[in-house]
Amino acid sequence: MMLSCSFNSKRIRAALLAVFFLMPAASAQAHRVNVFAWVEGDTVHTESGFPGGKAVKEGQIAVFDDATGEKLLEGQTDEEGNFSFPVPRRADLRIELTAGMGHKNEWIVRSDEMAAAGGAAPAPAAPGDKNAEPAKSKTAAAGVETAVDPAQIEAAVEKVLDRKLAPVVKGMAELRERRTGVADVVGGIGYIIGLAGLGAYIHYRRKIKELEQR
Amino acid sequence: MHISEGILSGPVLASGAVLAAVGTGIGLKTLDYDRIARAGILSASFFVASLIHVPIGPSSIHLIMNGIVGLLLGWGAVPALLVALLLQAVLFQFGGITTLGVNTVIMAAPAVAVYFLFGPLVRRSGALGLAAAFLVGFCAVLFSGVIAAASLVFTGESFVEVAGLILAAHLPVMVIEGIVTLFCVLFFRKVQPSLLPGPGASP
Repeated sequence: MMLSCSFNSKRIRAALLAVFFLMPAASAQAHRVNVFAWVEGDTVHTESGFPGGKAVKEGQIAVFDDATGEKLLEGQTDEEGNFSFPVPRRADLRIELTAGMGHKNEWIVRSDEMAAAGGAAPAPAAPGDKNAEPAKSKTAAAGVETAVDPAQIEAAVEKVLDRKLAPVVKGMAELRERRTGVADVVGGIGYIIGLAGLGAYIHYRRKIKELEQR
Repeated sequence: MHISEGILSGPVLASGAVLAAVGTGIGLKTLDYDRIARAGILSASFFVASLIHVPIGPSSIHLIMNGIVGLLLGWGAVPALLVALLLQAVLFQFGGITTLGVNTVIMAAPAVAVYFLFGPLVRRSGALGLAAAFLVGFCAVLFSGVIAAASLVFTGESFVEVAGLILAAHLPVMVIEGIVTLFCVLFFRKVQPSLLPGPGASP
């Protein structure tokens, strides 16, 4: 076969070895799909993607009440893998993503995240808060409108915090996505080698016993 | 083509588990324990092959290598792939534990099939041997896609649609795997032909 002359077995062996050893370095993944969600104001934002960055387009999102299992709403992700919806109720929400071809994953948004990011809470503010707003201090002195101002300040502060914290919360959600690393690959290969050894050991012990009984 | 948890219905999962168990039993019986290191290496190769990432179109796919595993191990491919899939599920969260049986059938049944279909042909010289080697890789992925679509059809999606999607997405992988398998077979022919099945091979 003329073709075999061009195949240098040493080079092929080296190439195959290189491929096997470079794989952990590439650390690329596939065949999982990830979804995570965060709350901003009274909207829940979800982002769906394949590990490595590709967005999930036209993925099916279904939102359930985690405690009762009731389906609250559903929708589809857009071109960037995003889908947002207003908070349906103050409860733990289970957000399920189905991405076709057998890929599915879910993310749970706790009700405490909603309470923290919710709209203006009518809790009375401590007198010290008013000092931060020089413009309001005049009306504060009047005393009649103190019931309104702390709530307004709190609402404004919450809005700004939401905006500033959204990328932080999102970043934390991304961190929670578990990436496979060299340790996983080495561990898996170790298990395989161990099982192969165990299999051989058991097999040959049985054979020896058989031979001894003869 | 690893199917995640929570998609397939109970009967599908159960039948997958049963088929995988039967195949594993046969595989363990026929496994050549003198050559168990070979089974371990092939299992490890399959385990790691899924990290070779081929970005194609809307989604990403990975090399599968179940063709060459089946060609070299025959029925032994079932336990080898079962172990690798279990570790992928536990360590990489590819697929799932309840779907382990189904995923094993998806990967291992084509492996055993190409062993019986093309095994006797790969050591032949000339175009027939080359074509057989290419088809080992190509058909292994093709059959895997068909079985995956079949298992998904019971979740209410139309078989033709899902099968079409999976096969269209994996067509590049089929071709690449065919070529990789071809190179591997040529390599083995030169270096250690007894590894390959066919006339004159040692089991």
